[in-house]
Amino acid sequence: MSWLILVVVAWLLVFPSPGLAQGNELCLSCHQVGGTKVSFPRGGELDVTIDPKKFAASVHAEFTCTTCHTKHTGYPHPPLTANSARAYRVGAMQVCASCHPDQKKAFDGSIHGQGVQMGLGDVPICTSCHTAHAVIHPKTAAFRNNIPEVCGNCHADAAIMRRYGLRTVYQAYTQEFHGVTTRLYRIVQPMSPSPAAVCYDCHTAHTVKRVEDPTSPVAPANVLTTCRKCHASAGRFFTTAWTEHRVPSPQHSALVYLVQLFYLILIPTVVGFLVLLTALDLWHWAVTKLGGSGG
Amino acid sequence: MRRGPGPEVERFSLAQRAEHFVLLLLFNLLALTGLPQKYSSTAWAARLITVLGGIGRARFIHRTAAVLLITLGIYHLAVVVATRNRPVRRHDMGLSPRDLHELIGDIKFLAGLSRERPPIGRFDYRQKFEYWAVLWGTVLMAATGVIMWYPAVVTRWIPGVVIPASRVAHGGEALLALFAVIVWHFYNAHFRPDIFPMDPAMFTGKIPLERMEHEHRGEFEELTQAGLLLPLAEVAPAEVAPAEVAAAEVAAAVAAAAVAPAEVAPADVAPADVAPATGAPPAAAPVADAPTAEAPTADAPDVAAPAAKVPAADAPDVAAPAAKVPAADEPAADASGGSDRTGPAGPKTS
Repeated sequence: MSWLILVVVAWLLVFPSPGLAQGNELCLSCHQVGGTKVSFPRGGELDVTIDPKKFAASVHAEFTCTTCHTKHTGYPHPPLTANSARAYRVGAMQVCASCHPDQKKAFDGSIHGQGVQMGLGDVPICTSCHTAHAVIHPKTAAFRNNIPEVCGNCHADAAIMRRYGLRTVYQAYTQEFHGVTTRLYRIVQPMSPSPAAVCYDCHTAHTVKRVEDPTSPVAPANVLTTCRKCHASAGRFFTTAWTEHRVPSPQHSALVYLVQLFYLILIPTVVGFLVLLTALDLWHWAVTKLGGSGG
Repeated sequence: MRRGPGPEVERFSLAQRAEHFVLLLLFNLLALTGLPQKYSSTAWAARLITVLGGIGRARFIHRTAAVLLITLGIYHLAVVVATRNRPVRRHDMGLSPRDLHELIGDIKFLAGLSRERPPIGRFDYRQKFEYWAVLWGTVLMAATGVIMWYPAVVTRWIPGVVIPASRVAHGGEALLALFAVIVWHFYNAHFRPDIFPMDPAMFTGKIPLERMEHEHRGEFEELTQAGLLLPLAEVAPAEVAPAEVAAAEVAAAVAAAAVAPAEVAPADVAPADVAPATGAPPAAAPVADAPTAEAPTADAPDVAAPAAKVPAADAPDVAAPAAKVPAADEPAADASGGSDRTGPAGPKTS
């Protein structure tokens, strides 16, 4: 086996393929072979397969593997120090921070960042949202238009949310005007940024706070200012339009709930009555026809 | 409606028909561009939005159609006010307890609990129901639509909760309207067995005089009494058989006596074409019963007024030929024999 690797490595050193950063071919000669996984003593697995196409399409395509994987300059690789997959990924945040210190600093102050510092296992880290090897530019439409799903990875998951005393909000968002617009917009214009608000427009990205936090842009005192970022002429009652990513209920947005209930009763009643009248009319016609011809 | 060869009466003016067409077009456009927004997570919504060229364009179409529909509504109300006193094609949509009686009476009749169908005016309860549903629906859709269109402005004065509430109401009302149209309007204008595949009145504005007498007796009587069915009627027989004017009245009497104007008869005598407007109409079944009726006539009547068959076809279809007002009385008597869907309720005019 090792002789084969040697041959491949030698081949690639002699004939490097253009397009990929110098030296990456060497790593890819092993890492693009699917299914290679690394296990950690305290749990977790890491799939170390790299899709060269995705990597080539990422913002980091021009980097060499060793730009980030600084210790992995030779083969065999040095043993991993992290004792779990999560620990490995959390450690990798420092790699991101080496080029993106401001974002890392902002993140550390966020509710997500605090969770990471507390050692919580399902709190997002850099790669949770940006991925590791398929990073696309966050200012692109493709990234923006997919934000509800990125956040929805956790915020649609009732089990995760329950652990933190939160509600799932993704499902409600997708039925709200912003969510509907974003979903329908990207069908035809996936490469054009959705004009409707996505999660980070209101909640921010790296500095996201709890809604209860008075410094949060969506805290009750700040909501109107946040709405006016887009709805510049929003009236003073505008924020009361907000249904808080909730399904309307008697407790929340009672009027909306009542209107919903009203139509839930009205539509079947009216349509049922019309169907009945129609059936009656047809029945009468049939009886008259049959009765007439029979007699 | 089988296109009976009988004389026809115009119930809807060209402007009214045009209005109906614009409404039809706008309703469909609004449904087509609105429903994918209500059901945005479905695959068909995605396909529809793709076909429409994106949500931006769909909303543009939706809002344009909405503005046009509101304009149409204002135009409609203006016309209603302006024409409230005209004798024909009037807007008689006023609701009264009579309509409820009509509905209950009709249910009884259809269920076989009553032999008589309640007499119906220019518009029956179904048409009134639909009309008010459209009117009310348009007002509600316009109001909730504008609220959603300008949420920022609206909430300067009114509580914001009306915005999500409007959204729910807009979608609910849309669904209600759509179902009502599919179940009720399609049935009454397309799928009713005696109308299938469609009521041509939508295009021509006309219905056979016979049908008007059956289904809109109130209007029929009113027009007759106002003499509006007469002027043209007098022209008609003159065209066919100018010499036979006197005979026309005889024929009316004959028809009234339930000697059905058999197919054979009209062939040779002009009076035959006079008869339909007068005596024959309500008597589809009774004609068949009449002992004097020729055999061939027996199956013909359900198509149209028997006597109208051949000659009346060329009469100006705007109004009944020859209809002399009083002649309309009699047939009721013999019509009671067969219960046609219109029932035997005869005109009480004199």
